[in-house]
Amino acid sequence: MTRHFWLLFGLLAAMVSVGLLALEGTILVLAIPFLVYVLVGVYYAPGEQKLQARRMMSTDRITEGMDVTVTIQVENLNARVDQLFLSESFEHDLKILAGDSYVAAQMEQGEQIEYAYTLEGRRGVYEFQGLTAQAIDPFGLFERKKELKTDGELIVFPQVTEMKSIPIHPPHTKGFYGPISTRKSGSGIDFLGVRQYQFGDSLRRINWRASERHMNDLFTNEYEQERIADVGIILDARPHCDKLFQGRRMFEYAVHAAASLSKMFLDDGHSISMLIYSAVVTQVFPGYGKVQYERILKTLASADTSYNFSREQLRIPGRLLPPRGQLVYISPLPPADFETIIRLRNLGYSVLVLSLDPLFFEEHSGIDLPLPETQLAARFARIERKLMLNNLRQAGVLVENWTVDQPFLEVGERIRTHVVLHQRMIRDVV
Amino acid sequence: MDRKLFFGVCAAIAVAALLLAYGIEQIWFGGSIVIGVGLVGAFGWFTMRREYSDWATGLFLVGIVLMITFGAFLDLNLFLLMAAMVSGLGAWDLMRFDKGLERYALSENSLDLERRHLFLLGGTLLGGAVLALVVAFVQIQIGFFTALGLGIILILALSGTIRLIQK
Repeated sequence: MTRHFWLLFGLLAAMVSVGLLALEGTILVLAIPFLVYVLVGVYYAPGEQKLQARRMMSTDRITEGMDVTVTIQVENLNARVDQLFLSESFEHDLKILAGDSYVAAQMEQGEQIEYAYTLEGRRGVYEFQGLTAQAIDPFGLFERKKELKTDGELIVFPQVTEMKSIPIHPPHTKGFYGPISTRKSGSGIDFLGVRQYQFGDSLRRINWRASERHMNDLFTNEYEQERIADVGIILDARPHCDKLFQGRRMFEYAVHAAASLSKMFLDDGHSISMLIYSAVVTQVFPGYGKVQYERILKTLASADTSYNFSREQLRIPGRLLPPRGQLVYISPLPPADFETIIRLRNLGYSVLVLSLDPLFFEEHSGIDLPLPETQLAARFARIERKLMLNNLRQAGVLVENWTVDQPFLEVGERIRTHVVLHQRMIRDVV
Repeated sequence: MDRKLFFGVCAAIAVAALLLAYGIEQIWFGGSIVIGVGLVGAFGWFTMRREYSDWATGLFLVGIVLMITFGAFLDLNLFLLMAAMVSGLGAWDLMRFDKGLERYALSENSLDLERRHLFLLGGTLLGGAVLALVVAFVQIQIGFFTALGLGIILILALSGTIRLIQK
């Protein structure tokens, strides 16, 4: 029974009581329309509902910025329902673009209704709980509520930027064919050099031009081995990534970068693993190809920042990292992480740090720095950070500072250039 | 829009009928209270679909019923009181119906939901009014205790029906 019923019932009871106590027939007469109204409500009161609902989605995996159409089918298996209110509420990160998730209908026995709405959402994993079906009589005096189970899950993947390949050269590569030149002789396609023919060499590899200059010797072409690498992407998800720029969290930019880099490395054929470093370390084990890409995107979709005092400094157990492989660390780079990165470099890892500039976020947070002292403090912070990044570079770590007003594609190009220059420098030194 | 218009018309009829009933007997104090009730109804009309509009129409209905009851004690015109009662109840119902549908879109095959409700409401109110007027002109002399007994039977029957529905 609804509160409307109690209001009417109260008025009706009061009128009848007053009429009886005062022996005033007119009041009783005047209460009759009330009584008829309530009795009609009683007559049409909803019985036990047997409703069946089904949810259909155009897709259950979308990328941020895309939309999904959800169609709901409800069938009435029992007696007629005069007014049926179907409603469904979502997490606040999901937004309805078109259509309605609150629908009123009247349903005959065996009738089926169908309605649809279009949703878009931010990165995340969303579980649909089901519908609330509220059947009421035409006068809203009696109601019956029921939860209709319509399971469903929607995963909104982070946006991914298609970027050009970054030619990494970690110290250790894997035994499978890939894009990394190892400077070792093997079954590649890039020419490495010429050596004297040895028994068992393929005749197709004989360099006839070099051989004709020497009367008694044959020479064979050597090709460079090309291998794939183990790449470990470490995504910093500690609370210092919660700073905002134009209403978007720094962490969202970091996730975007992690997803784009993962795709690029996987497209190159590398084995990728991922660590999300928050209160709990989430790991995606090494893998290749589209399945791994899906796994990484799914993990990134549900990633969020969280705090644990034991994670204030970056500490990663060695068993979670690919041995002497390529590490990519995406973080605003708090000073406490400096030592760990140097240690990883000393352990023989090739380290690339993509640092989202936290000072840029501070400067664009909308807080004015009117006092000369605060402006001076900002300058000191800038110098301190620059110094830290330079120290990392000198230790052989590739560092890219990203102020997020630049598109990530541009940042990718810069990383690529730096990696190439870095390799050339090492070759020159060697 | 239709619902808002119907609500306005019904509320206006209820207030006008009551005003007329009190005016005929020149009970200006009662008339002024009816105007106050009308203002509450007008407030409900202007603030339709807001949080407190529900309370305003509830108060409007209570006010109308109170004034009708006083009117019955003062032997005002029965037809006018009946018109006020039926219209007041109709106005309150339309407001409630509108509030209920506020957040909901109507499904494609249920576009006549509103029309059906209006017909049912009209029929119920008309039926109630006719029945009441028929009862008013059929005079049966019964004693206090008989009337009290009938009243108790009525209330028990009503509560029994409700218990039946709850099961």
